[in-house]
Amino acid sequence: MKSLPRFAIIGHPNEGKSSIVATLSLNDGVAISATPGETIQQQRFDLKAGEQTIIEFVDTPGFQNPQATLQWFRENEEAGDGRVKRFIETHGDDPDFHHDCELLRPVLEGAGILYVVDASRPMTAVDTAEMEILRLTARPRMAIINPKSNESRFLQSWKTTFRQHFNSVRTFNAQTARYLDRIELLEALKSIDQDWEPALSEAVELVRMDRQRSTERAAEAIVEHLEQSLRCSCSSFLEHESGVELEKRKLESEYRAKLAKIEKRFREQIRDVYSVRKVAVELPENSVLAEDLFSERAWQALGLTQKQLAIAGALLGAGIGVGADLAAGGITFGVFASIGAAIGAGSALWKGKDLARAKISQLPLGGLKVTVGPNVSEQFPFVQLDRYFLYVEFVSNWAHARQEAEVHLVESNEKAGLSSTWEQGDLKVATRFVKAVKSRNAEELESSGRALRQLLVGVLGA
Amino acid sequence: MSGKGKRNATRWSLDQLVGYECALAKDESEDWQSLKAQDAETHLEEGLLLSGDRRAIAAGWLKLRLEASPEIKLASDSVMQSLKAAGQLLGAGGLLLGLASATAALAYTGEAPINVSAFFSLFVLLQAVLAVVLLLVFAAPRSWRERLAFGPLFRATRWILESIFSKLQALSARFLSGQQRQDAAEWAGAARRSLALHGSVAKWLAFTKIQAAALCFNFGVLAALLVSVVFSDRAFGWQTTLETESESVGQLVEVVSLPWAWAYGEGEGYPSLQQIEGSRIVLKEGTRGLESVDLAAWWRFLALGVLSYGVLPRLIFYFLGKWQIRASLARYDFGNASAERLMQRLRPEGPRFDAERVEQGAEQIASGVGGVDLQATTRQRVLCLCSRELGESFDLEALRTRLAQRWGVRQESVEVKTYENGRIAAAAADLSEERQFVIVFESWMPPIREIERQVRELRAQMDERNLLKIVLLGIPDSAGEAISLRPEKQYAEAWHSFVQRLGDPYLILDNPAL
Ligand SMILES: Nc1nc2c(ncn2[C@@H]2O[C@H](COP(=O)(O)OP(=O)(O)OP(=O)(O)O)[C@@H](O)[C@H]2O)c(=O)[nH]1
Ligand SMILES: [Mg+2]
Repeated sequence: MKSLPRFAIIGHPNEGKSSIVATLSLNDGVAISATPGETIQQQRFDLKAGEQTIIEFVDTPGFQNPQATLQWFRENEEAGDGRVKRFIETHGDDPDFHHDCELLRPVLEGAGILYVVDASRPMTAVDTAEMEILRLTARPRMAIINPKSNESRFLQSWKTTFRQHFNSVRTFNAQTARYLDRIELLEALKSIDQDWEPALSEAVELVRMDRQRSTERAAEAIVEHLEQSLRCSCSSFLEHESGVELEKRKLESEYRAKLAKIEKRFREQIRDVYSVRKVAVELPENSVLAEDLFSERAWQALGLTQKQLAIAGALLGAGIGVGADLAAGGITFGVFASIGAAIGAGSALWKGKDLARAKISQLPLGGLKVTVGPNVSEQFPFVQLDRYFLYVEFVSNWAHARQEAEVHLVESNEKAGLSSTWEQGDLKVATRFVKAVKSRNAEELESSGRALRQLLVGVLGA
Repeated sequence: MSGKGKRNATRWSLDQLVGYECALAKDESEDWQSLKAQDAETHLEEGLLLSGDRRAIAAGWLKLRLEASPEIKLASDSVMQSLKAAGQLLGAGGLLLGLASATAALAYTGEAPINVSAFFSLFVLLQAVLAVVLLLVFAAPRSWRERLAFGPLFRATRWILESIFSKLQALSARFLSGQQRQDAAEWAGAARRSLALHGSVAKWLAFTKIQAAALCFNFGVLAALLVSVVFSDRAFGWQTTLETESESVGQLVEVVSLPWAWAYGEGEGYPSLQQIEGSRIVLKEGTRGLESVDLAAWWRFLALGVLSYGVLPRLIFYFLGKWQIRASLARYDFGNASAERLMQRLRPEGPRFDAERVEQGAEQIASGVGGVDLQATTRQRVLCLCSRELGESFDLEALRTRLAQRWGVRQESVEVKTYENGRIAAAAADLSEERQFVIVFESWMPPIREIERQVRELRAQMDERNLLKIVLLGIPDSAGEAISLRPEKQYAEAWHSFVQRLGDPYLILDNPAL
């Protein structure tokens, strides 16, 4: 079997090597810590597409004796390319040189070198020695600048030195890199050794395909869970009218819990799709994503703008026949009236609570049926869609080196979601799906779902 | 802790030392600024501070500190208490062991007399041999002695520990996080540091406790012997399978009894030849042929033997140990890093170590700046070592100025020397000891093995009681600052841990305001 491209991530202790490995191999199980010397053994982390390994990344310990090692390399010039091998043979048993041998081992086994440096600090004698050692190994190598802070005064001198020692230089922030940054880095790896170009091209292609698959799975999850959210309702039977108020409140909270559960399932599925395992299951309370579905702020920040809403309403209305269906759902005002109100009174009117209002129907054989949900607001599907979408967008670009247990998204009062950017055509696709869900037309649901999926794949993949 | 003569500053008792260590250990966790503030509160005599007598200053500070924080006193008292309790336990154990083993040796069934040979060799001869060995150890020169008595043991344990450590390393990677490994290494460093500082006291303390226990053992043996003689009728005899003549036994007995022969002579203090002859046990003859007077003559010999070869030497060694503890305490040196740090703390108007940018007052001579405790740096020349690369990226002249400011010394007495390829020790090899060595590092360079090795090597070249300083540079701010002595927190922490791990009591990180 042809050997896979393999890269050893090498550098100082605590410089962010393991972080780079985590982000590149999409593995949040890599041990990262603020203590220098966390990694003391080389360890391989494979980047996979499905079950297939595409690229092997090797996390290594930091240099512990760069200057002594360099000295040895210089004194043993006659060994030529066998120097790394000889070095490991000579120093393998010396506990003082354990780390240095360990980090050179993958190099000996033919790995390319990714030298990681935090360029927000000045260079030292130790850095120079490390770079020189790597140059003397004569392996294809690239310098990766992983800036831990915004300090850029020293960047230029680093770059100048890098050019003398490395085939290529790139900036890659392990903690903020998104999917595209990763792809760019992988593309750039081709340039450090021509021999790897075909293998790496193939690898990048596989990464892209894998990403596409993930996107499709995510879009599918969105559509599926959107349908569930739109269908979601709770009802119960009562003998007398006396308990109705209490029952209504109970059902309301049940309804919320049910929706929350659907969301939770969705989140888990998405995290699974993008192998984000370590970060807390729930995103923090005050992020837009974790915002209670019924909170005012979520309603204002997500979903459609008022103008779009008017269009959506029209689209919805036109298909169904004015209000008939919705009225049957127990709506308190007709679609057109509601649009008018929305335009006139602003988004405050669109509180989820009101729109998920309970409906009470008299049963022919006596007793009452109390039902809460489905939510009948035109805004609701879009709010929900936006939440799903934002979540996917966030998770799919998660840098696996990040150590936070919870994440705070920046909140804004602007429309933050996806749907507010939609033109009429896209809106039409979405509303068609919403309609199909409500009408319970299986065929229509199938085809409109497919259309919405495609739409989402397009936006997510962009 | 009594103030046994304030003037007699060289006295430094064990509980003072324990209290001192407790107080310093407590202060370890405080930050520099609050320590400074706290010390400003304690009003040490100005005269004392100016005297520069570190031991007296430390004693004075300790006294005030203990008064101010009873919890430190409590901690040190409990350490002393447990030391005492351990001693008592050992003593009781010794006594019991003595009683039990002697009683067992004196067990008398009435069928055969008590075998003197066994009792004698166990409780007299063996003890005498042990005492002689110990005496020889003491008679040997100090260096031999230490090597002989403690060296092999230490080396063996160290070797075992080290081999276990290296075996564990691979294992620990799997089970311990970097933080845990670092904590363990820091702990080991602290232990090494304590051993270097207090090893001698601890050693002699253990020695006296063991001697006291041995003394108790002898008392137990004596008590058992006396009890058995007074309260029962015991017959003593001797036996051997060897073809020994009674004469030679008599000679041996005579030699052994020399110490007390002048007081208790033949037949009283030790059996006469005739008595020896009479108390020989020959198995096939049974007990009948033995003279009961001859049998009794032995016990005094045994008792006096235990007294002279057991009790007496132990007593001597015990007091020798006591004396050595005092000597070690008097030798305790206040030039080490933690004492140095304490002195820095106590200096009222000392130069501000964390100063943003001290006014250009470097040419000033130190005496103006507090003038307290004219420490080594002010008298000696200071040699700063830094890498060639550091010299290329930074203005060494500015470094000199800043360091002179920091220490309050003349700029001329600060010398800067660069080294190549990280060979710190080599660069300092041919320099005289008259200077104070300071190594300057970029704080953002990680404290790696290589540096650790060099620091150790440098230390090996120096007197182990010479203070070695590490100074960390910070990244200069963007406003054109040439040199910064304020290392960033995350880097400073790594270096602090590094110094901790090294466990060198005379190595000091000179950026205390971390
Ligand atoms: N701010 C910031 N911190 C980073 C970045 N990359 C890594 N870090 C932090 O730097 C520290 C060290 O990261 P690691 O990835 O464990 O470094 P390492 O090189 O593997 O360290 P050793 O295994 O100890 O040699 C961790 O606390 C990371 O969170 C970055 O891009 N930005
Ligand atoms: Mg690591």
